[in-house]
Amino acid sequence: MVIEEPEKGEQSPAGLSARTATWLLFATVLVIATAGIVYELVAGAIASYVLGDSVTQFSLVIGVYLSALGVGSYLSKFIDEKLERAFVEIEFATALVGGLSAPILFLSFAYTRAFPIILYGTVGLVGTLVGLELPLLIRLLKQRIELKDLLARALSFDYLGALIGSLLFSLVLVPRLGLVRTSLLFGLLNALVGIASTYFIFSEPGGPRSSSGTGLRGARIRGAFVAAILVVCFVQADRVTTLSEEEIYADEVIFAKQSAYQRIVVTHSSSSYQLFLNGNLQFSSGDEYRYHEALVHPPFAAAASHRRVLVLGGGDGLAAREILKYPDVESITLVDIDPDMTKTSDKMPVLRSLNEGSLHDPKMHIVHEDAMVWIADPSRRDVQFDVIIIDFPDPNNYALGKLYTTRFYSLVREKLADGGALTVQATSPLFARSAFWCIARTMEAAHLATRPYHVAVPSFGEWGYVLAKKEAFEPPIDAHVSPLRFLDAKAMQALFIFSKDMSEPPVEVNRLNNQMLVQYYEREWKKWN
Amino acid sequence: MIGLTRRQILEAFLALPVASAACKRPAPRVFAGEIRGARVDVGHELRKASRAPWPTTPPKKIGTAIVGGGPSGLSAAWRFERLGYADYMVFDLEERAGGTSQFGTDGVVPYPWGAHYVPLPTANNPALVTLLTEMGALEKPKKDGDEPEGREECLIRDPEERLFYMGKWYEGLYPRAGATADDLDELARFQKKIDEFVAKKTSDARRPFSIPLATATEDPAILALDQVPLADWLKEQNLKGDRLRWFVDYGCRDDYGLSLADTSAYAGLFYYASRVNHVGEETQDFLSWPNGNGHIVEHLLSVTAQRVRPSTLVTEIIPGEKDVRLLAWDTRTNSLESYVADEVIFAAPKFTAKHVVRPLPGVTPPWEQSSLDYGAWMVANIHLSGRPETRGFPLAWDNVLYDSPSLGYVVATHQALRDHGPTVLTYYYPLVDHDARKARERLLALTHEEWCHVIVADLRRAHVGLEELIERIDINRWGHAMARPTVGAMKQRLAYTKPYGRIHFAHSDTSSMGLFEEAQHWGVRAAEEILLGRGHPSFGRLT
Repeated sequence: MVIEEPEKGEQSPAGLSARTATWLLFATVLVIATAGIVYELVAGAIASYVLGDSVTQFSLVIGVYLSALGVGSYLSKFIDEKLERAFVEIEFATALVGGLSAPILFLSFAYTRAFPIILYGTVGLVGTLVGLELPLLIRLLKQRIELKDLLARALSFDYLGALIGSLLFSLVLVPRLGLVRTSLLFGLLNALVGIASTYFIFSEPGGPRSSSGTGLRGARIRGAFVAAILVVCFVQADRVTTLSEEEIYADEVIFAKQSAYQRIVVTHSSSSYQLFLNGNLQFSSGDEYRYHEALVHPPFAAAASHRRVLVLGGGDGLAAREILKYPDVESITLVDIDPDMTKTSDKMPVLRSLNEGSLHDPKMHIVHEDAMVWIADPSRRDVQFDVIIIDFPDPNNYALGKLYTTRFYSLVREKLADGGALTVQATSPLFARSAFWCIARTMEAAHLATRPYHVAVPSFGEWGYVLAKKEAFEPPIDAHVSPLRFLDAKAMQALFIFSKDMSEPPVEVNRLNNQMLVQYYEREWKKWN
Repeated sequence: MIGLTRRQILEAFLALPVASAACKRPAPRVFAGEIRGARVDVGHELRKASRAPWPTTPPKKIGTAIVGGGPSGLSAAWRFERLGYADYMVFDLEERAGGTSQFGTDGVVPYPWGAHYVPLPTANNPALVTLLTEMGALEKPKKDGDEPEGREECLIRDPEERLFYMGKWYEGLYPRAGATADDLDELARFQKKIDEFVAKKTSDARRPFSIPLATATEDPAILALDQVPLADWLKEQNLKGDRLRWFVDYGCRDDYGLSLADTSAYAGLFYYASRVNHVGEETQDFLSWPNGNGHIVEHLLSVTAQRVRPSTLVTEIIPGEKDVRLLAWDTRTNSLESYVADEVIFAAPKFTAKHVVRPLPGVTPPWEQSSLDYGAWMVANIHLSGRPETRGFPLAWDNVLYDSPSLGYVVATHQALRDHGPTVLTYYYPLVDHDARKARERLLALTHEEWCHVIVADLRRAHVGLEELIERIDINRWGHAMARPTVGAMKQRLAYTKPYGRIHFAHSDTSSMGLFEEAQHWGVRAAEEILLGRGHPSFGRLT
């Protein structure tokens, strides 16, 4: 292929030869084509991240994007004058909308309910702008190159850009930069192309010399402004992630910390405080007394003695607060994996006033270890407890699922003194019926006599526990301690009555080598979320 | 290999796409760690033609000498102990006995250096059932004749295995994501074929494929599969899809260190059919411990250690009519000792026999009737400060990468039930070259640094930021990891199933495959045969 040699001596304002300018224009095609495919992939990837079902999301995004390219190409016919100007302005617009598309999409998912509208709106707009670019460039170039060559080369650079974009996206950009920075980076490239083209695009042989010096300067300033916005966003990209995450919580976030094990978030609404671990509500100060009174007092009523108490989980210190109401408790051993959790509960004034400083009570011994590892440690074989309170997060992953297995309950049983009682928080018997009863059956498979019970906690819904002893026993009829806000004799007896919609379905026992519970739990909660 | 670029090394060990991806990034850092291996230096002394003169002091007398302290030799010793016979001695070349079931620990996390699981035995295998019961790995049977059940904490904890396929982790080993109806149909047909073998009637009414191998049928129709490469057998069954072929090839590499093309159809089908008890049932569960089969070796040593001589190489065995003389070299004191024993159990790998055992006059030695082939393996223990990032299904016990010549890695903390904090990944890489000698040359050619490049380039495709977690990588090169059941190998083994004079042969390679069950079977069997021959008070046989 022979490139038409421009006549000697013709120079663009930037002092480039016409031949160099032509090559720069093809390089421009390559960059904008790469950026174009990257925007499309960013939108598709975000849609599949937040909405799931990646096949549907990708095919819809690609469809909308391609049709918008067509719309853009069609619209290009209405631009008759000042092609160069139009091209530069479109570059800046693409830079802004395309570059900001990832942060916009993440934030809109967190802050609004209109995510699909914003998604397809953004995809359509970016597609239209990108669709405008190529026809305009071809028209600019046709003044220098024969149509046959021009189309061949422009289109091959366009498709080559698509290849480069898709390879870079999956192999380099997403693993190295993440989605937000990837879209910002390509926005920046579009802006730079726009600025650069003001230096070589405006002076073609025979082309309309349309721009005055001031017009050029104005365009460059606008370009610099767009680029500056994108650079700032690029540097601050991490905050976008935090911002969009915090907005997932309904109320104001007053504390957030990523520990080695989980994300701890405390929120504040007009009348109460909430604790979230990995986005799952642990308690709300408005009604946690119902949850914790029901957690602690039934096993205390059922146990023959209260001297030595073991709490597994419960790093918020609220179960400990209830336990300390019994004067005959001599020691509490609390095993929680996360030092940041107990530290926050003890140091943060809001939590500390809720748990009444229970975590630094002289009777309290705190151990930071995985409860499974702690309880299986043979050096503690002979240590036993009169009351054991097990308050782990719900079994929504395998690492937690192991703490609800026959193996775990067999080890717990060895730690339980004769006549002692234990209780397990066991998720909702209404929302996750099989999961709840699976926990009860698993405890029985570990040779514990069980008495399942439940209570209504408004911020959770109907909540379940399993009370157990080594010996057969009748459920307790009253709690012998004060002051209590919820649990009196009548309420205690009502705990053990299950309505029809919470009755036991056929379930399998949860073992380390089948992890049935995680499967029940996932399946059942999915229906309610 | 000197003069090869990093890219060429990665291409040779990981294939082009991984090499390309890895080389675009800046040169990786150098990792701490060491390279170790079976004591090749000492072992090679055996080949030296000039034999050391025997000491002039009178030989020590022992009843039975056991040469080789891997699972097979230690199982023989264990059987002796349990039957009240203590007049034996185990000689092992390494500082710590255990063969390919060795393990290590970094103080917090124990980890395997080789074999790392055994399938739950059926009641067919009383030797293994007895051993595992003794170790507390099995539930107490509710009544006699019940099939054994594994203790919950010894069975592999769920999630057991996952596969990295097209940029994401999926549960299970078969690549189901994106599989077409045809692919799944092939998988079902393959499983049906296996079930047919499980149910097949044989001429001697024994199971077609059974563990230990000695309990399997001798039906010529089944044994003929030894002459067919598994790849050809699959073609004959019209099983040609990439996914199934990968899945079966993975099985061959995992169990035998062989490719689909080099594995005999007998061995390939044995892998699948011997682990199903009855048609339609799941394959037997696996038992494993944080230190792999090192846990079993520890138990065997707890019974036998006082009669195990580590760091001792038996350099010469002279069989006679009434006894056997042995020359042993203590590598720690560099001294030679001679022994005279009534019998010998040769439980070291067979390829060493011809260098050590002098032929009996007038009897063709078994090694002249047989040539076994041994696979080369690289095993690395990768010490991490935390858990690697993952896309898709979470970290499992066994983690396999679809398009990798490695077998992926096993997580040492999985069976210890530790799900947070530091861990060790045990990474397995069998060199499956058709020519075993070439595989060994490739294995030994790479330095620690080069092997680290191969490992990290392979794994970081699946784990962004893995390098930042790596604290050290230790590498073990197993030059002769295990016998390879290539086409015709089953016939080869027959040479060793009978004693050679007063020398009984044990070791897993007596079955031409590196399985713990086979190692134990031949060890226990040799011990029992010897006690029968000595007129030991009667006992119930386990083999």
